[in-house]
Amino acid sequence: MEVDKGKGEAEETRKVAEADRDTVTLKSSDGKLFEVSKEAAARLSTVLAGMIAGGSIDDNGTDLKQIGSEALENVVDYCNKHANSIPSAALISSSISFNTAPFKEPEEWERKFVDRLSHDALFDLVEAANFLGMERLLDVTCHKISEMMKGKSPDQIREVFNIKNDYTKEELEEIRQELAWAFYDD
Amino acid sequence: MNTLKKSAGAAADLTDDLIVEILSRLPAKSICRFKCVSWHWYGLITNAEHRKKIPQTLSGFFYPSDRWTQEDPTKMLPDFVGILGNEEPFSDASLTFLVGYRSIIPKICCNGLLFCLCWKVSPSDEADYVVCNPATEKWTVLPESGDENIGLADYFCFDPAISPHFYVFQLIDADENYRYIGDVNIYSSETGAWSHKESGWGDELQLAYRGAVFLNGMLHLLTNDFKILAVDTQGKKWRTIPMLETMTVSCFCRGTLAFIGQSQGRLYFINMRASDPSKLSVWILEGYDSGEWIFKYSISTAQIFGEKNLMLERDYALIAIHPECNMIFFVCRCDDVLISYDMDHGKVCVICSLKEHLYQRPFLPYLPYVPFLSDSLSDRG
Repeated sequence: MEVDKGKGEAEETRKVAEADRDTVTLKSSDGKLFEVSKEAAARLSTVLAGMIAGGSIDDNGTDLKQIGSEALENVVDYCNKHANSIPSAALISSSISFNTAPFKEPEEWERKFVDRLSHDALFDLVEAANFLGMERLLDVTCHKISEMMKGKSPDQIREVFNIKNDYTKEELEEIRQELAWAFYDD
Repeated sequence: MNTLKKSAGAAADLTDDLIVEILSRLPAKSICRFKCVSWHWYGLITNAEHRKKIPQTLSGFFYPSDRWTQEDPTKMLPDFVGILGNEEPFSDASLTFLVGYRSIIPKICCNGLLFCLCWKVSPSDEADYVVCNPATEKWTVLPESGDENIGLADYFCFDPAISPHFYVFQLIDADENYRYIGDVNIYSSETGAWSHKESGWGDELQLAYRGAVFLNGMLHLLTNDFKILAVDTQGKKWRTIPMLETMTVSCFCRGTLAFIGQSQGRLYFINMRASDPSKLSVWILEGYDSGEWIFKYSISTAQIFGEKNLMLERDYALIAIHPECNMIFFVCRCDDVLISYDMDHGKVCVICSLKEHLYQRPFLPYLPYVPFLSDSLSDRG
C-alpha cells in the first residue's frame, strides 16, 4: 500500500514537473524522441500551439506520425535556433514594417539553416512545416526551393520533382514557341 | 540507390498546394518556362484560383475599338489582342460589367488595372473616369479633382508589389499653348481624395505627347527638354533625370518620336535616330540613383518591317516593352499587324493581324496588360 501511495505521489510530482517544464517532447514516425522549447514551438507552429493549449501533449513523446526523424530533427533544430534569435527577428520586423510584401527575406541564420540541407531533407522539411502550420519555416523553405528552381530548364525541373513529361512533341513545340523569350538565360 | 529512390519520393510527394506555394515565389519568367514541365503543371499554373498567387506576365493588349451605331456614332468599347494562347483571365474584353455606360475608352493600363474614360448612357454628355480590374470585374469611379485649371494629361499608377492602392496624377497646364507642366493633383485610392501639389520640377518644361512609366513607386514622364521627370505618389519626392544630348525627342503629327517604358525593373528610352530614321536607338537607365544611361541596342526597322523608310508614329508605333525580357512590340500600319522584336536575339515575330485598321491618327493606344487577379477594388456591381 505504502509503496503504491509512494508511486502515486511520485507520479503526481512528475506530472507537476512536466507541466512546469519549458520543453515538450515530440515523437517522429520512426519512434525517435526530440525535445523542443515549448515557447518556440507554440509561437512558430499553429498545430503545436493548439496541442499545448489543448493539453494533448504527451509527456512520453507526442506522436507526429506524418513526420520522419530527419525532418523532425530539423524542425526542432529550427525552433530552438529561432528561440535564440528573437531579439534580431523583432528588430528586423519593426524596421521593415512599411513594406507591404508578405514575405520577409530569410535572415542570415535561416539561410544557412536551409542551405546545408540536401534536396531530400528540404522537401521533407517543407511538408513537415506545412503539416505543423509553421508559416515562417514554410516561407523560408519554399523560398529556398524557388531559389534552386530559378534559371532551371523544364528538363531539370522534371528531374528534381520526378515528373514524367506527358506532352507530345507537337504540343510542347506549340507552347515553347509562344514562350520562346522565357527560355533565354535569366 | 536507396537515397535516389527516396529523393524522387520526397519531391514527388509534394501536394499541389505546396507546389503552388513554391511557384508563387518564382519570377514570372521561370513560371512561364515551367508550363512546359507537364500538363499537370500547366494546369496548376493556369488555374484561375492559383493565378491569384502566382506572378503573372504580359498576356496581351487592350485597345479602344470602334463600335459605332446609327444611334451612337461615337460609341467605343475596349477590345483585346492576346499574345499567350487563350489565357485571358476575363470573359468579356469589352468590359460590359461597367453598367450604365454607353461608351468605354481604355486609356491606361498599369499592372492589371485599367483606367478608362466612360460616357454615361444618361445623361449622354457626361463621362466618368473609371478604374476597373477586367479579371475580377471590380470597379470604382474616380471623383473629379475639382481643379478649374486646364488639365494637360492624366496618369494612372498601380503596383501591388508596393501598395494595394492606386494613384492618379493630373498634370495642370501652366501655359495654354506650349504644354508647359504646371502643378500636379494626385488622387490616392487609400484616402479617396485628391491633393494639390506644387510642382517641384521647375518652370518651362514641355511635356512630350506620349510616354509615362510607373517604376520604383514613382511616375516618370518624358519631356521635350532632354529630361525625364519623376514624382512619387505622395508628391513629396521630385526628381529630374537628365538625358544625354544624343537622346533626342522630336514630335510628328501629335506623336512623339521617342518612347519610355520599363522592363526587368529598369527604365528604357527608345528613339528614332534624327540622322537616320530607319534606325531606333535603345537606352537603359543603368543606375537608377546615379542617373547613368547606357546605349544598349541599335535596331534597323527595315529588318523588322521588311521595308525601308518607315517612320515611327507615321507608319508604325512602338507600343510596349515586355516586362520580363528585352522584347518590344510594334503595331504596323502597312499590314495592320502586331509584331514582336527580340532585341537580344534579333528575332522578328508577327504575332497576329489586328482586327482594327490603323488608319486613325494618332495610333490607337495598345495598352500592355499583365493580369492582376486579387480583389483590391471595391465592388460597384
